[in-house]
Amino acid sequence: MEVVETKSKDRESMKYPNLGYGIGLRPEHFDEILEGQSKLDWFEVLTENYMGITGSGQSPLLKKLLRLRKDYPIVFHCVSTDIGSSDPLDLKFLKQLKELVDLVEPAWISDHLCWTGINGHNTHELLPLPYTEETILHLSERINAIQDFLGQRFMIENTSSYISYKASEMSEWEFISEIISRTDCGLLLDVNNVYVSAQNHGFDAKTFLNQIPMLNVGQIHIAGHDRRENGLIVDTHDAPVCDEVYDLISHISQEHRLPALMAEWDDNIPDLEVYESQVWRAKEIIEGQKRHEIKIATK
Amino acid sequence: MKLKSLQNEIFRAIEIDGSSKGIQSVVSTPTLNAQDRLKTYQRSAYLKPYTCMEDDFQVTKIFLGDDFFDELVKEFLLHNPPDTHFINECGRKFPDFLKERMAVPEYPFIFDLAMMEWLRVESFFNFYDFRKSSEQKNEESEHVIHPNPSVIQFSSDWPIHEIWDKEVTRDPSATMAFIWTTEDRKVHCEAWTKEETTVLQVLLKSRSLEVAVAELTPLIDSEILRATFTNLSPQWMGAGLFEIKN
Repeated sequence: MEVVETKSKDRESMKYPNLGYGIGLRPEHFDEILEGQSKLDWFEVLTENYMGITGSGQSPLLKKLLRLRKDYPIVFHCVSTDIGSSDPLDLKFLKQLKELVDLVEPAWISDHLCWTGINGHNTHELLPLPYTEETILHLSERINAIQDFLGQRFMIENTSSYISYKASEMSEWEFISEIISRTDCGLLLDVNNVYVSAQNHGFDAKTFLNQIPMLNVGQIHIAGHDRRENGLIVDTHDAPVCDEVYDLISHISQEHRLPALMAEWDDNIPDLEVYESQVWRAKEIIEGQKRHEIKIATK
Repeated sequence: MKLKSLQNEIFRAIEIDGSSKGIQSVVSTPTLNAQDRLKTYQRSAYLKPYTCMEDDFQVTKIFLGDDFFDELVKEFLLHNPPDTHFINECGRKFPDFLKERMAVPEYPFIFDLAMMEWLRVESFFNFYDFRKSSEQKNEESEHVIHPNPSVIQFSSDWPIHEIWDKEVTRDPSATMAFIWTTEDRKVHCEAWTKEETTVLQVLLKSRSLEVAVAELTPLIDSEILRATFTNLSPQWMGAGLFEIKN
């Protein structure tokens, strides 16, 4: 019981409900899940896939999503809010997003801390931002505007990156922490992205994890990646989660109660059992850590 | 460097024909220079829309051949970079591009073929429009028609031979082709006669059965109209073209 008290401080102050364990829902698995073949607690969906072609409508997938929503919590994950762009916020996109939010009622909405386009063009790439005071100011204003528009706390995700900028004035974790302190937004902590960026830029992933404001972390991502011949690690989401990422999960769980956790898999998608097994391994680590702490506390 | 200048510089470097030579804002490290790091983004920014178009224009690609298709898509994306949040939308103007480009003089039908393939994509994403569904909730009519919004009439001069031949064999008097999607994610294409087409078009645009019948009565001979309703409406509803709810 002692352990629960130690970490309950985190839990009481955490800004999101803990939904348990989930995966990023892919169309390949929709029917199996609707038939009740999953033991997962919740699902994340890539929002744009359900918004459809502008002015036309949505795919049959939305109808299935609404059926799934009756039985499971759903969270929205976006890739096109373009929080970091110098272009004005895309109000048309936000309006469509709000319509879908009102229809599906997701537990929360997230997008990446990045920019995807400029001058009206969309690269569909999650491009990194320079870690400067100017960018913090720009992002804070936009996140606040998005939160006001949607009427709820918005969650930002740390991205993986392959470049860094000469203009940066601080570390990524200082940059993220400052934005959170100015907006009180949520953080979707992608542990694979922390690992990938740490490898690509030569910083210590554990330092990153130790410095971010865990109370605002509402969700954790784990995923697989690809190591290229030129030495870069690319966040491809097309492989099993690596041991190093699970080690980082273990590292965080030693200090904090973890929020909702899920795996992402976007390419070479495996069957549902293999996909879910990525999450069950993380659960084992977290539960094992809990058992270990209870054992120590009762001695 | 200010944020906007930096973003313009990066965007120019990762465009299809972009170059990262002389780039000022990105850090080079002893193991990997800025140019090679940026190429990762440049390659991915091209492959994402390319992969979508490869999926969306599968038959067109067969006619054009792999290399020529790649060349045309590259040229198309150079002049029509993705500009909306929905990546599947990137091929919308590709049929028109093929028409303007006069890409393959020996295949004069290539525009129609590409347009047919695009309509197939559009019909899939038209399937379930919650905005339209919610608008219809307040209807007070006795027999409300819920059309499947994915139904698109295909009026090209050159429908895909395979589908057209099959449909005309089924009914030699068929004159119009329709394409639509059903919940199992399948895309269907069928052809109907002129009278059947009129009945179907009116049903798809009407809010209620009563309104549809009132509009059709002066247009179609009453015997044909009765026969169409009796014989075809159940089939059309079974095919997911629309629902009639009491």
